[in-house]
Amino acid sequence: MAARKLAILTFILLIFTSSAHAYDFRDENIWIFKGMYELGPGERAELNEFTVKVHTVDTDSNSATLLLYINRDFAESYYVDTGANSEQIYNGELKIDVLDISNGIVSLEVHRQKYERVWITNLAKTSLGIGNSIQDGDYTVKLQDITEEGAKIEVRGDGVTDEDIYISGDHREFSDEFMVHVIYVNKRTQEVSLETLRPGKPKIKIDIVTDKGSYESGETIDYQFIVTNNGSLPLHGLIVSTGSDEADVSEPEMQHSGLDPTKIKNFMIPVTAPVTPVAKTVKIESEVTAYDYKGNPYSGSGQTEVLVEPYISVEKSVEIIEKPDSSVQSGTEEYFRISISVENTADFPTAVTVSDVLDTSLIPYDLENTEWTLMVEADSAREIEYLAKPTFPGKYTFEQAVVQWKDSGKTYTVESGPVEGEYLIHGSRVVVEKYVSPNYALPGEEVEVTVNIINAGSRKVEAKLSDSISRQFTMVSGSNTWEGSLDAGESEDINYVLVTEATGKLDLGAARVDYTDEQDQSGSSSSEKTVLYVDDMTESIASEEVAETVQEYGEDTEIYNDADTADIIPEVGRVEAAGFMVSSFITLFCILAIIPAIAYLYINRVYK
Amino acid sequence: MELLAFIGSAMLFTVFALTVLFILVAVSSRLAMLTLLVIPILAVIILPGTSVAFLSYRHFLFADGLVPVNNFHILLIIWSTLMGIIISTEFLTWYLKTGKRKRAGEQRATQSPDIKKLLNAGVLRLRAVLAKRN
Repeated sequence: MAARKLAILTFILLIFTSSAHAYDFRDENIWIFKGMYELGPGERAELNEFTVKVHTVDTDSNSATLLLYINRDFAESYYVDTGANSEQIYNGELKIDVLDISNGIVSLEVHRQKYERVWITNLAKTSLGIGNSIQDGDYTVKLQDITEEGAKIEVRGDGVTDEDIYISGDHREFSDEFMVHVIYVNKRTQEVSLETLRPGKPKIKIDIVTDKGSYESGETIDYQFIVTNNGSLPLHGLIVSTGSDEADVSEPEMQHSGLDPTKIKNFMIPVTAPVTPVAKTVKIESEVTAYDYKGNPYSGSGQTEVLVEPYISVEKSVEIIEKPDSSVQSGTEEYFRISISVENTADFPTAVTVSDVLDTSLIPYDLENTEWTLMVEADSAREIEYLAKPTFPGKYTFEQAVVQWKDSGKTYTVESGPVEGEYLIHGSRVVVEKYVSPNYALPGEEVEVTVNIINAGSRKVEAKLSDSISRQFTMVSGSNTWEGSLDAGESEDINYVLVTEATGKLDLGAARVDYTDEQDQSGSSSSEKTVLYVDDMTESIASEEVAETVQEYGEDTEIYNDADTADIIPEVGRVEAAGFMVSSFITLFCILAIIPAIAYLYINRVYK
Repeated sequence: MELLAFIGSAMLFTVFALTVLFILVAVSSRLAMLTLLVIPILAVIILPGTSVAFLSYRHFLFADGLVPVNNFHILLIIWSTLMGIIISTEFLTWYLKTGKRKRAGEQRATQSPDIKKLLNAGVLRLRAVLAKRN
């Protein structure tokens, strides 16, 4: 009973072993090319557990002594030359082919004997009846007959004509490029299951990865060159060459013994960014060369570009700080703390000029100007911190800080990143505007004065208007006083009508508003002085357009017009014109009469 | 158009200058001086818009636009010229009159009775000499 069980187990094992063995035909015991090396005395080539080292090179006889190590232990020593001793084999496992010895350099190829998959299924399992055929490229496989001996199969193509008897599991190779594998011969159904195979090929795919898009000057770039074998056969003797136009590649050449199909090899290549005074794009290129089992070369390349920042960099940050209650000035409750950090990543110190342009409504505290000259040591940073007081509440934005320095006689500039957003300063602020409409009037004509009080701060205020009227004017209607509260952003218009009989340029004065906010902080604000031009001319010489412009902006200054004076009527009245002419006449008369008058006086004295 | 404006302005100023010169020669220098001042002033007071527009009309721009020349400038030039003429005339008239008057006064002061007698005697002697020769 036990013997029977053992027999069954053995039978099952044999079945599995047989099927496993059935696929061995895909592999071949071949000398696999592992790489080509050019080695000088003392240099070595690493191939997994094997290490080949050039011990000595005799340039006179073009010979060399090679040492072979296995797992770092000395194994064998070989005398090689380019003649009869060019090929050395160690224990049937490693073959060294010396190609050339010149100038003290030994060029050699290394092969390892190994079972390696070579054949890859091209046409999958197909059933053929007698007389049927399949086509695979140039080859035609036809089932002629099935006898007790096996299946009679004819293979034609590429100068090959073969007819042979196949049994289940048989395979035949043709010209190292085509193989027929008979999987099963079914004598009962008179059919054959077979597949065709072809030698596979490796295929290189390149990916390049860097950890960042931009680097500081002198920073180490994490550069990864990823080689993927997307083919069906392994790659051997991978050599990766890396170069860059600007960056420093510390290992321009790297090696790897082999890469199986679907496997990935990540080459971590240390690259150092250049030290540059201006931002520049640095290109890094890599190329991989590898070989298949026959020594056929395959290659792939890739490149990437990274941005290298200048070795001087600047950062600016702004922070709002609350003032103590006792020091609320200009109606503002906060002030700014501005920090500027200048960093030098170069390996030499640099003198820099830092300038920070402030809004005109900001006053730097305890500083004459916001420009500094600093010496920034190598691989270090300098900090500048100062306070800026806002002169009125509201929203503030900040410009970028600018650093300027010289390198090799040239001046370079770098700016900080933009300071994002608006910074709100709380406090109370009242803006007073005073207009008169129209600006030009005739005596007796009514003019309307408008006082606009705007709460431009962020607090509610109690405001009181005081706007005096000159004696030249008479109030017709309205009131020139007002008192009330204004919320933040709210405004109030106060209107009154005046009349005057006086002429000329009349001063209406400035309106003044005294206010107190919720936090009992008081202040006052005044408008610009307002002026009214009253003319007794019967015809208005001011054009409508000019009057409207002045009214809109409420300016109290003289009308200025760039128009060609040859084409317009000047805005002077008869009194001004006549006065000017009389004064001109008198002046001319006085000037011209000086000499005759002197002569008159002199002559009078002489005759006396 | 600009040329016509210039010609018109020049004619107006010429008439004005000739009028003043005529008054200077025919009537009196003081009236000429008054006319020189009053005519433009009256024009400005009676027709302010038109007069100021006329006087401020620009004819030329010299020195790349740096020096504009309008009728006001031309009026000032005419004023200064005519004023100079009037003042010179007045001064010379006074000077000549003063010199003549002085000389006349001096002669009257220096002519004594003895001299007159001597002169009369001389004249008589001269007549006697001439009578003898005849």
